[in-house]
Amino acid sequence: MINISKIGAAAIAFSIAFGASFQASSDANINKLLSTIKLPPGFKISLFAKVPRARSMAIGTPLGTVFVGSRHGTIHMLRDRDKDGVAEEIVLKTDKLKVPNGVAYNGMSLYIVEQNQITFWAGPSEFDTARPLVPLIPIVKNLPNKFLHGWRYAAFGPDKKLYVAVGSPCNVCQVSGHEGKIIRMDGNGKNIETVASGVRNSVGFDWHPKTKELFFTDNGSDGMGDDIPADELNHVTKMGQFFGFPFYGGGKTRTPQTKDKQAPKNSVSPVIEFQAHSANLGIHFYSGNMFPSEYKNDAFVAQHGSWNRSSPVGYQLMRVRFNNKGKAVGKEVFASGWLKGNSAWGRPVDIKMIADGSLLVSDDFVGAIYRISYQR
Amino acid sequence: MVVNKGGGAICRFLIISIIVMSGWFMAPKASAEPDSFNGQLWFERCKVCHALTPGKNEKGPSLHGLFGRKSGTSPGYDYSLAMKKTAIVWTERTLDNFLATPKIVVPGLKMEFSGIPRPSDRRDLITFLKKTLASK
Repeated sequence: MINISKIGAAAIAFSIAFGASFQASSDANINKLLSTIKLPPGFKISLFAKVPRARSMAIGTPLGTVFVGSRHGTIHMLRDRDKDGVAEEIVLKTDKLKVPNGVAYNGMSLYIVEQNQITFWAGPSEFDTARPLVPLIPIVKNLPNKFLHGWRYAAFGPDKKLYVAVGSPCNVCQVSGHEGKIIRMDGNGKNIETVASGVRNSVGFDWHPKTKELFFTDNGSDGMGDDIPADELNHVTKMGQFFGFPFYGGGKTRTPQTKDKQAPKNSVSPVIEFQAHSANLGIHFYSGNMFPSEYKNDAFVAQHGSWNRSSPVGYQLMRVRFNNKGKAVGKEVFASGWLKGNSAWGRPVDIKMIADGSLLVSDDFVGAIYRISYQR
Repeated sequence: MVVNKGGGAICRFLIISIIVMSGWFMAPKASAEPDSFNGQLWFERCKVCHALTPGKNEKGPSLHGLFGRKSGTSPGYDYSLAMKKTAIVWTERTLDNFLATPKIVVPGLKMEFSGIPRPSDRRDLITFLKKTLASK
């Protein structure tokens, strides 16, 4: 029963289907994939915004503007004015910065941490999404300017200081200056202090809502096989503690490169060990009222997923449980499904709660920000 | 335009539906343009064992002059027998094939690396490597 109209209709449908697959990151396509994510009962994940290469986030107040950094030069500004869980305004502010992975908000201004420098956007940053991202005032101009692990994480602490994680520019090596540290400083870039050293590469930290103590993730070294060394969650209990790198590659595993040296006796071990190579990045303590009360003061951790393991791991969100003394006591998977068999379609990076108590999760592979909400 | 009613319309509807639905559930694709950040990131990982300077062999052979060169011929490097016997001429295509599953392409290979599964990652790395080698 071949006739012209049937061939014509099939040709049209065929090109629609191929069109759909070429712009395969359509909203509907992403939501369809999100429906395969496994979450505990009552939780839902949906698409908040499509943002290419989305990485770290900072949430503005009082308007709830979402600032999004990336490793590809861009800063985006998102606004969900009608609070329907979808950002209707997605504004690209710049694509010219140098690995602007660190974004932080201090109650008025957006701070940006690039590979080599820290700047802030003078003026009330939430005021108008159409305002150009100028002037960007540098406050620190001489961060270690090396490519590897040059993607910084930043946030303002309960003490109103700016905290910045600066990675080690290698797999395993001796570091110098601010390399391999979490540092903090005043909002004008002065009084830089070491919060933690011996950090291989941290791309996520947050403070326990009650104890106000700092917890940070750290990515373990490569080259020792599939299952060692562990990725870490660390607890800073005193300013300037040493967390083991480069003597330890992660957990209690010594690096072969330093085997002839004695490790410093004051090396602090992690409080939680994660699967090696799962790439634990953003951590965020839950302080809202949308999720069941058992989640309050627990933390979520984004696992970006492995790049060099013989079979991939990670590509999920973990929940870390804390006791009422603010100590980490256990971990479990919270959201999974970005890894299907041996192939992953998405890579979680950072997590931030917004005003209604839902969680935003960035994904730099899909190029999206997801929203996890709860309804009984 | 001739339209067959009844069975013809159902048949056409089914054909169209199948074609449209087959494109529906597809994983997000990487961009069409090579990503130089991603290429550099992957290249940094190769640098753990490979240098680009001529004659500088470390855990792995120098990659100087890689493109167009026959496999196993970086001067002064102690290759595995497998790599010495393999006669691959390194091009973008053969590198792409090799880097996907190195130990399957060259069984008995010394290189301790399980491979780069994602085609866009391989494309980004090979593009970056070619550009970097050309500029030396």
